[in-house]
Amino acid sequence: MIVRGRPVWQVSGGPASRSYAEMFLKYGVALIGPGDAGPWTPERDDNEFEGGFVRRFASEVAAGDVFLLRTGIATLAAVGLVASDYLYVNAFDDVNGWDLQHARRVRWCRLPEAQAFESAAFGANPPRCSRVWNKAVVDFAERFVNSPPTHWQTASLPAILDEEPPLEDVPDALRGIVAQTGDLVPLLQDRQAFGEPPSEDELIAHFVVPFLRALGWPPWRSSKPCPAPQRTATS
Amino acid sequence: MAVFQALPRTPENCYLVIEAKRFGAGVEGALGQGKGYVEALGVPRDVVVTDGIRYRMYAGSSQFEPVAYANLAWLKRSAGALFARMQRP
Repeated sequence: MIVRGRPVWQVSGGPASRSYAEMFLKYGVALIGPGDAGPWTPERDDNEFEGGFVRRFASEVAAGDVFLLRTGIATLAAVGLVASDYLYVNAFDDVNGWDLQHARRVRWCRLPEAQAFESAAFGANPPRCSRVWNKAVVDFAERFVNSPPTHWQTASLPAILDEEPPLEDVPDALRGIVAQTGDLVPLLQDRQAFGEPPSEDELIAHFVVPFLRALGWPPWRSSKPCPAPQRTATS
Repeated sequence: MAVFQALPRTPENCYLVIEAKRFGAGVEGALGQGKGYVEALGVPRDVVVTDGIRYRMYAGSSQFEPVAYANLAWLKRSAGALFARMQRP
């Protein structure tokens, strides 16, 4: 398949501390959020999706376009070809905590080693999905897709993740902490209203310890930090 | 932090190790730190990483494979497995 002139897009695999790039490769997809805002339709405003990323992903990307899986500011882990129209897949509503229901099927080819470009190749602060105009990157993409091996471009797509049903019966002992969590998360997501997110110690005191208590652990059965191992005396 | 199945609170009585990270920092990245604690204890124990809302458990007996997950703000059926594994025996 000669792709010269086909649009090339970069899509983020998430920050290093909470990456979801492996999900893309495992399930043959590219995903972006915010997905909890619901399916994109042409009538919906960009403000409902934190900007125009979802609109471009859903309406400007076309089957056969080239996707680059970006795993750093300017580093690629895979090259792919878009294999579907826009999809909204509820199964991806919690990918390492991200709501990534906006999807495209993609036939990916993992690079044998990460491909790094100059730091501003995708812009100083690359968005989660954008068209790539950098000549070096576009050249790389075209050469990659037009060079053997090319079997990945027609390979069967892996089965997509099945949607998991919600937990219907929350154990009675956990209902309180679950309700508090439900109250906290929307507050935390509004950084302007909430301010700095709570520290690790706050989360332990207000959520982790109560969670353990609800699971039957009395306070004296936990410690922070972990106990030091007993050492054998040496002469 | 450590959770103990019996007193005294010594490494051999440790039931699991919990490594917490601040919200949004990414709990999965905390596994390395949790594994470090387990290795220091010298006993194979499960590790739970959490930001207080999402909990992911890794099995100390099988090379820290992820074995259970729950997002308390978005509970799915499989969360029951994490509750069962973290429940006091």
